[in-house]
Amino acid sequence: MVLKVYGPHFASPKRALVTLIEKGVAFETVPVDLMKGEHKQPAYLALQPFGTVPAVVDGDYKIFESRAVMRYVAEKYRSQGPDLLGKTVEERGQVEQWLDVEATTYNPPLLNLTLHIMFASVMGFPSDEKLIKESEEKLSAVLDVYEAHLSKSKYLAGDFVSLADLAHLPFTDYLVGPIGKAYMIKDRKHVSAWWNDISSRPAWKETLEKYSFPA
Amino acid sequence: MVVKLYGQVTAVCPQRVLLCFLEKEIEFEIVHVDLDTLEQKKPEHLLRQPFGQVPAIEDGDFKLFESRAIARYYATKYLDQGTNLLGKSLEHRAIVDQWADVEAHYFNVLAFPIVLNLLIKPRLGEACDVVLVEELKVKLEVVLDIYENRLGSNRFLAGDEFTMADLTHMPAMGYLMRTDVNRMVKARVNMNRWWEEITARPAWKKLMKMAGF
Repeated sequence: MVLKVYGPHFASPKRALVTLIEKGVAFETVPVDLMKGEHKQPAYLALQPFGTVPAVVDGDYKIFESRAVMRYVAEKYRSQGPDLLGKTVEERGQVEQWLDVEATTYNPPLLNLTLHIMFASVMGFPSDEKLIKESEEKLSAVLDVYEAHLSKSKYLAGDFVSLADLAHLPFTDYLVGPIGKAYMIKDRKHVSAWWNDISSRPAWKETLEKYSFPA
Repeated sequence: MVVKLYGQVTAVCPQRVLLCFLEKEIEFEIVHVDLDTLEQKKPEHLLRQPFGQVPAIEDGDFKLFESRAIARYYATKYLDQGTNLLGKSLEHRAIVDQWADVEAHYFNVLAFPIVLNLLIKPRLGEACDVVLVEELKVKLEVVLDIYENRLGSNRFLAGDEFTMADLTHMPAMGYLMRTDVNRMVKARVNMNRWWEEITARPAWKKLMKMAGF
């Protein structure tokens, strides 16, 4: 039975999708209609009790949290495709460090921008201009740290692409596209070079081609 | 050479790493970074942790920050020593990761601002955002129901054994339990049972003693 990823059109599941494609792992996707509240129905909550996407089912095995799925896939298929975990325990430590930075420090302000700029009207809540401004300032300060780091390191965890870089793809794609703040990336020389590199990887292009939100 | 942990022994994120060291019987040295005087934002610390936070570790030439990444690194490096915090198979390990990530994304986002407002701000002479705390508590009730359900069919968050998934919750929970939020935990049979069991562990008791509790 083939691994299934629920909710492919949304950003967080794309962390799992790009990892699967990088590793050459066969999978299927199951759409989840968030607009119709499908994620709050008992059938979905049985897979992901917090009612968010993605959820992954691999035979009898169920797992949620996009970065946990990334780690699972990268470990299970370690011997095929690029090694996204680093070669040594120390390199893995650096991968985990930047994966955590993405989760705790980079993504939260970016998520605020995503919700308030892209989805406020569609989800029916007022867009908070003050929060948008504060979130852009916070993200800008984080990107300054990234700029300094990437001036000394080709990728986040070292000279190899890893889960840490891939985890940034889905929401940064929103930032340079529909959120309309591409300058935050492009005005930073090393962040820009890193972004161009990781976003032109064939696995990411395939992810966008196949699973972009239907217009 | 012994690993150096830069941080404050009473702070939640350094405690996460300290608890891992204690469970794994790893020797360590704490280098105090004073949060009350914002030492973490000063140039010397920014060289160790560019986002101006604690903890950071230095282990010979190896440096790392982000408490959960540090804990995972040591849990991996010392897999065969002390408590196995990672899980036994690939599938089990991924479930440990899943619930450890749940802590960061669903639990900590609520617990941390509650602790900040109810315990830390008063100590620093700042006003508590009462409205925010009430909103957060409502959201926390929903999240704790999910934990309650999980712990009804599982002794620990990732299954039969204590793992990183449980450990990573403990520092913030420890502070939450010192606020009136402890009623929310005590009112839930399975959560209460789980909390009593994990706080009876010797490593936790040692940590609490180190932190002056």
